Amino acid sequence: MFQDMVSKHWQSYYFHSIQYKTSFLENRMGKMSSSFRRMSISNDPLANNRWRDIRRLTDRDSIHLRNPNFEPGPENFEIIQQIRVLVIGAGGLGCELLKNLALCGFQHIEVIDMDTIDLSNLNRQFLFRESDIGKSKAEVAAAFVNERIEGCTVIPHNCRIEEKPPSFYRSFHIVVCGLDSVNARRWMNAMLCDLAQVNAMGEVEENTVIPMIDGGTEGFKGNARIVYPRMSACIDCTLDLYPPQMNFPLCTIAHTPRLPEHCVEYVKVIQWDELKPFQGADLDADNPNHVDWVFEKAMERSQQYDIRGVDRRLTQGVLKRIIPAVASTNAVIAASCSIEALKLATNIANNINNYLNFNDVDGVYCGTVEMGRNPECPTCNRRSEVISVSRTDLLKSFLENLVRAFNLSDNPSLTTGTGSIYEVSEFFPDIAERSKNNLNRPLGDLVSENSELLLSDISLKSSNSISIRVKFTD
Amino acid sequence: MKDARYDRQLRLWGEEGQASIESASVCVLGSSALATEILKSLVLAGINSFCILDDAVVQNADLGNNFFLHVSDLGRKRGEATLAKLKELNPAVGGTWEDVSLEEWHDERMLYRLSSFSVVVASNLRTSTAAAISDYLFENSIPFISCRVFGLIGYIRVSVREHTVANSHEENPREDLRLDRPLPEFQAMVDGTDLAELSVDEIRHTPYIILYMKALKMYREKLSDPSAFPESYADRKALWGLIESMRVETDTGSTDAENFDEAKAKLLRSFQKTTVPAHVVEILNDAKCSSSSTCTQPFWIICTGLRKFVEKHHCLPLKGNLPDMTSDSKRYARIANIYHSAAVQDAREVYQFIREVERERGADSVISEDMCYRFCKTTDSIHVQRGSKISAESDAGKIIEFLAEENGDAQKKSAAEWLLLLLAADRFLQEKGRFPGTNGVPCTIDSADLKSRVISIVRRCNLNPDQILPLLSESGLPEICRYGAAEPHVISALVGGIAAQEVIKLATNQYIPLDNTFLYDGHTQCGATFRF
Ligand SMILES: [Zn+2]
Repeated sequence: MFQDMVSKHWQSYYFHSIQYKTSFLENRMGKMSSSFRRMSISNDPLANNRWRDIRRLTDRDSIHLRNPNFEPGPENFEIIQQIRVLVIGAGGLGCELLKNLALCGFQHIEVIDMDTIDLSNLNRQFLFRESDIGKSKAEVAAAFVNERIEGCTVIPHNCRIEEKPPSFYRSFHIVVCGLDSVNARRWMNAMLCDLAQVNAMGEVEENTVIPMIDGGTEGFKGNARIVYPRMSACIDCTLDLYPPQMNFPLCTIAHTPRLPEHCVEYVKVIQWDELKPFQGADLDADNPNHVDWVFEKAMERSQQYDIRGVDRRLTQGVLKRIIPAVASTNAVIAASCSIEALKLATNIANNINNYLNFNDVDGVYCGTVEMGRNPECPTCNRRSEVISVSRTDLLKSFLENLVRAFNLSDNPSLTTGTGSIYEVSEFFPDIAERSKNNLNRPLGDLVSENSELLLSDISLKSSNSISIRVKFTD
Repeated sequence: MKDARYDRQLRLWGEEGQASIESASVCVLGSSALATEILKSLVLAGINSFCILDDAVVQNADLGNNFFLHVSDLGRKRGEATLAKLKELNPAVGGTWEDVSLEEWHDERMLYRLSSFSVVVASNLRTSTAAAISDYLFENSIPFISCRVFGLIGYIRVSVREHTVANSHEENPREDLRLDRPLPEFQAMVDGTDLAELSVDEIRHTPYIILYMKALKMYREKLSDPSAFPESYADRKALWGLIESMRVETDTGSTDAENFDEAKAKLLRSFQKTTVPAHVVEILNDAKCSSSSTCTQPFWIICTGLRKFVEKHHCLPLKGNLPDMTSDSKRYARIANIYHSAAVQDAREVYQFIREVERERGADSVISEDMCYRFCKTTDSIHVQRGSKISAESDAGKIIEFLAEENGDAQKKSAAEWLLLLLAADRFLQEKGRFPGTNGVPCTIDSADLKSRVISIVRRCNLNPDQILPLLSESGLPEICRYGAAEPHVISALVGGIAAQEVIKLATNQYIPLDNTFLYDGHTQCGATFRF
């Protein structure tokens, strides 16, 4: 099925391959050291080293991989320890990712997840125990890894990804996503595409590109991919890879139900609002009493229409749109993503180009395919709004004009690929302070002509921000 | 409680799959990163129990690749230290550890011990040791999986004498509508429907399966052949023309209708002659299904019952599920019930045959009517897989065949090269007491040394090294030495995940296992499958 989707994709888009430069991280980190030169190994200094098995790969040369950016040596491993990795999601993939990254030697890891732990997570989210039910996934997962892996620091963020400002995301070298929602994936993708800056020559500034590694699983199938924002196919370039959400037509649900799912949907969409059970509470698919109520009503309806197959598991599956999941597929896909993160950091092997499919229903299949960019993709081929201003205009009035022109809230933010011009949030008091001081400064001091600025605001839903280029009239 | 914990996986393998998993006892040889990653997925899935056999002591390098160890475990027995942390994952799973050394694993007494488990999994055993274990377990019909991680390479070998699959979960199961031999009750319903009497709205809500039957009748009349059935593209096109002719106009002049669209989209899938697929015939002709067989394994008893049904009816029992189709509720429910009742009746008949077979073979009655009913829903995808023993010598010959194949797939050839080099690394270990790239010798020297092992393997296969060596890349040998038998966590996690799922397949009998060797290359993240 994946194969079908891929071939369909191949036909539908214009493809062109990119020779990726594997030096993003070197650009971002600065060269760690060029003085180190490979030496032949005359004894095995690693025999008793904790990181022996990774360092066999980072320290020793390879003629197999033919990558000029690979610089074997102890410094190569030290890069791993300095790189900052952000993990999105602390669920099935997230738990695995944190473990894998920590055991690659990464020491600066942060993780975002807004969910709390549920009993049904415990068949695969191995960092959680029954006593953790109800607690924050990000916090429990981080604490577990920090306790287990000496020297590794995982910082948890128990919040939605949308709550973090661009400056937060900009502080990482690699982002690894383990999400089960297409929307969250798209949001993250759009954020990283926004952070990748295009210079006045129209070229992508490599030091603003934060590679995004994205994993997804469903049952015994999974995929892992690597996105270089604005340089290679992004999530939105290949949206048709994600199956559209199954929605049943309302008239079928209301008038001509045939399937057990139709009966559950009827109770959910129509009867719940009509009958207002539980003192008119909103339907909560995690509340067993609510599920029982829906199940009972759906059962009634199914009997009325002579429909077979309504049971409690199906009821809950429809209400929560549950995706089946097992530990093994999560393990495989998270490992695949982590291997790519390790390669990005060290060049011990070449990154995949650029999409991996895995399936072990019938035998085992694991292979890669190249996804091409969609030249029409609005997310990674964003065009800028060019705005003419005077160098002496103050930031304050410029922002006011933008708020009016784009219908924004009263607290938009304005950033460049590398820093903030105006960004007021409670999480970053320093930046807020500086931003407020900027309000009374002339634009000529704050921005350079034709460089890209990003205007972000909570009112902007579909894409995260608006790209702006300033043209000076004087 | 258990239902909620396992909810996400019960949706895949069902109660019966979960029950099989909960009765599985798994033995794992080794407790390194690869072993614990395999066990993690199995303990989470809820196997009955596991047993770790290992006498290794926790060293620094274990702390860099094994998640089920803590710095405070340094110096402890590794099997014991990992056991405690693995058991925390699922209180329902029992676990033990035995302080046994690798060398003892193929002595007679240990082999006998291994045959008490439902599945045995070996981590990072050299091929000769794995072969000795495989020899014994194969004879005793205990499934065995040997897996390895060597640098960026992963290897999984499934050695199972016979694996049977029933209640499979195909993504696109064949539809079983029987349009060529319609169920009598359904035929009566079709005959009782006069499209001319229906309102426009009723026609637009007529299930496409009725449209098919109406069109088929016209098709047969046109050809003056009462048993004609569309089989070619041209036939289906002609039939489609007849269906099109049944379209009606709405008030707005539109002839668009979902049921007609569905009819077009499903034409090929629906118009399939009712047959018994060749692979099912082959299984039913197996000696274990013959009347003289004394086999009492449930799968073979059920299949023997199925054989009797097929002999009588010349078709498989009806699956009984009707695909969704645009319709009013009443007519859809009526057809769905006709199919369901017929399927129940078929399953009941199969069940009677099964009871007969049980009596003939003097077997206890272990197959319930419910089990039989579920089995009958997927009889077209039953599957029997017969594997082979692991053998370093015969495997080497096959690997070289793959390498020498003229039009072979480049990726598969590269994977074959890694397999050959792993065998060479094993010989290196056997003769020098260490793996290449693991001590004070420069990798270049080990590389030359390793090459001589490749040559001797080729010679043992009675082949000329001068012809075979040029088939190898220049970079493979030094790359193996670079790896120095490393077991990086990430590669172990990936291989461990795949291997764990193979154990679950062997335990549940619902999925088709790897047949029989998988080689993963971390460079490309691509895998290749070989059959030895
Ligand atoms: Zn794009």
